[in-house]
Amino acid sequence: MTRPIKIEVNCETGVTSEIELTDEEIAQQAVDAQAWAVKQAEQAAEAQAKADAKASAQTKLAALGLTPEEIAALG
Amino acid sequence: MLLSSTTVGSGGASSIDFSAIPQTYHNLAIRLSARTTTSTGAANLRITLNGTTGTAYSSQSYNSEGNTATPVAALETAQASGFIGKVPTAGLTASMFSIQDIIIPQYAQTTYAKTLFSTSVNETNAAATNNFLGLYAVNFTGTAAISSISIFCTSLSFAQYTTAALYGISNS
Repeated sequence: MTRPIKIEVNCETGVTSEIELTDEEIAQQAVDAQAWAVKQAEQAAEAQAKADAKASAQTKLAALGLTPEEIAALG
Repeated sequence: MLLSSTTVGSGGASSIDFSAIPQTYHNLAIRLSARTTTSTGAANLRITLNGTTGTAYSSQSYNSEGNTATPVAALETAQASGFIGKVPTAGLTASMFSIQDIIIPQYAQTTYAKTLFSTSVNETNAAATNNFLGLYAVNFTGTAAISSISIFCTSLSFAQYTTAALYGISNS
């Protein structure tokens, strides 16, 4: 399997090199990807919890007799 | 003045790095046009300076996505890289590339932390989802002059015909 490469452009010499990633760099990529996936899942869960809480609050306000316009005016 | 530029070949590239950046200009500018070889949706474009990772970067972004009414603000603190844009992945419309303009003011000064900002357009020429227009501001805690820059999408590779050009901007 072909190893992934990075491109390095040396501004002093003008030379562009294609350099294979080291084992450490490949491993770090995997770690970074996992961390990013976890963060994305956390953000999605937080957004969903916020949406659920808003819907629940709107239902309770309607049960108290507020009109949809009055609920919307609360923001 | 154009300092260096590169175009990714058929094998793709996990990052584009500029090294040995001359210290004779006042500001740096990078113009990037990018796409990735795998994944779906819009990938996050990241930057590191002088090879520094750890917790050296904080980023504030404002992103407007085509199918949402208001821009979304997001703050990242103490990250290993700075967040500078969105890039179309292989899962989006073929041949669509992003465009980013990245400005690094006073990159050669050695007293203060560095800041940079980026304007980013991720156009998909398809449904509104994943069409991003964003503004990004990054703080980098390093005080050394910037001599190298790495641009990448975490764990993804840039596709063929991704291009990056580095410019030096003088004030005299």
